[in-house]
Amino acid sequence: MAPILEVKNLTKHFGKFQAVTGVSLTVEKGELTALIGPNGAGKTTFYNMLSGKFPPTSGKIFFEGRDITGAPPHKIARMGIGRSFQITNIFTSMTVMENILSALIAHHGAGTSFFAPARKNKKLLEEGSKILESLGLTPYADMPTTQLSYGDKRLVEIGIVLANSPRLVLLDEPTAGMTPEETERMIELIHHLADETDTTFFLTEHDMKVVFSVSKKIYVLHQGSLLAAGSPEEIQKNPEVRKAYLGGEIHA
Amino acid sequence: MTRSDSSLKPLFGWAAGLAALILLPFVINTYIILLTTEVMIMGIFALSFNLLFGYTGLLSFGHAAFFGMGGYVTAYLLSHACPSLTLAFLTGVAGASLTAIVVGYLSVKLDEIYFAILTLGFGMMFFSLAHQWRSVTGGSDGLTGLVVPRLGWGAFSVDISSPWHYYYLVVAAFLLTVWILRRITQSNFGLILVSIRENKERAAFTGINIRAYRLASFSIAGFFAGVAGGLFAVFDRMASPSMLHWTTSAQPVLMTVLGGAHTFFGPVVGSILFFFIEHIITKFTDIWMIYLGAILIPLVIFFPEGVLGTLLGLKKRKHG
Repeated sequence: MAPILEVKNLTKHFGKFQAVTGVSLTVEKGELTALIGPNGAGKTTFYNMLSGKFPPTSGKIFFEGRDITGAPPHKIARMGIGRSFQITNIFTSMTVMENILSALIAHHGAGTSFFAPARKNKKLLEEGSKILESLGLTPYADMPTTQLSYGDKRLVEIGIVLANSPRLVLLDEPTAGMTPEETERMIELIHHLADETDTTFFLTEHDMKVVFSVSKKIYVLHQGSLLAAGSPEEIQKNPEVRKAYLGGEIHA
Repeated sequence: MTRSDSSLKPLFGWAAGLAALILLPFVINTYIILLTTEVMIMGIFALSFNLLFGYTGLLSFGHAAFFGMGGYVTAYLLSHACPSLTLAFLTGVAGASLTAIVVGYLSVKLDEIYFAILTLGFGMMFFSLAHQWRSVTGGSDGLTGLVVPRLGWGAFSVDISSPWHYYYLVVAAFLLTVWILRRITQSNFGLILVSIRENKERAAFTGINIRAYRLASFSIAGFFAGVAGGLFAVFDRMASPSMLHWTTSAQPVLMTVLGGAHTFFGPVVGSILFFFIEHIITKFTDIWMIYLGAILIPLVIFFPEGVLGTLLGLKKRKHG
């Protein structure tokens, strides 16, 4: 079967600075894949190209066999790729349910309904409640997100992403800034979603414990280029990877 | 409170507002009737502006362009022997909407200060156009001395040159505008506008076409600004360049900030306060703008969410 995501020779220059150079990789459907690398390795730049924030300087991106290179974010989202951000990115002053409703409306292309009250749409509310329940956010449905804990805000963002029913989800450091308990909860959630739904996850992460516990396949990015690829065991043993991380961080 | 009570409560508010507007002419004099008519027209203008500002997060400094366009087209047709008031008015609104679609198309890709400056630029362009294009616009005098035809057909027509009749026409237009804009802001479309205001990036990565929604919002705002402009030209019996001046663009901004941008009725409350303050002060002095400024500063400091927004916020905190 064709991979859900195939990237060929992806390159991004910012002026003279080469953020990403000739990266090729594939993500197989249903195989939780991670992209790791030291700070400044180009992970977020790579994600920004995949999700359409800016076009690559050269190279191609194929999603389910379709060329999506250079498409704008809203089109890529509508095709079935969702993403979360390193810094929590939600609709701040709205309630938790309204955050999810917006994404549901976008997903169903229901934004051209100008007259029926959005907050009374039974079908959307039902779908929204299911998502909130799966995230354990049901008690906060009508609370403005400003009143939530940091970890719960991150969950709201996952909820927004899930509301789009994406087939591929890019998670940019999903546990960044979380307490150990929150991290634990997030790992459990990712496991659960990867197992229970048809969604394929592709994540970047700093926390090696998270990476080795959830991913089946790992790509290592170093100074904008691909350094290694393989199973968690292979990556842990790889001497070049150990060198890139200065022997420090790479232990489970 | 039982459920039926809570669902009846807003209905009661609407009924009370409607009754007050209908009964008002029986208790007040002509001067106040004229003033209230103007407050409602400017209320429509401010509400239309706030769809863009409060709901979509776009601060336009050129909203007078559509107000003026609605006014000028209506006035032009009426001064060129258009027999039907309805036709002249609807053409004015259509002209304003089309202008908004074009200006919006060119503006909505920009953000914040760049959007504000670009809309200000378009606004000034329309002002100059009205000023210079004498053969059509009447230059600095504008199109004056309009004769207002009867509204309706034959036996089913009314003379709206009487302030009372015109007052009721404006009440109808005002209520219709309030109702439609209220529905729009609470719809799916409205919720998407708010999410764009709250976080443009998240919205785009959620599959929302920001430019398309902003353009739709801009066009609807232009439509209702055109409604206000058409009504104003008929009210004033003229369309003059001042309708297109940047200070006219500033009026809905002031009214909205005064009343509260994040409350639906904020701009209406702001419009009432604005006229109230203006008419009290002009009784004593001609340099009323200085005093208006002196009153606005403490209002903005002590009512950061606008007068209505701050009061509703206090009430909410008290009750729950």
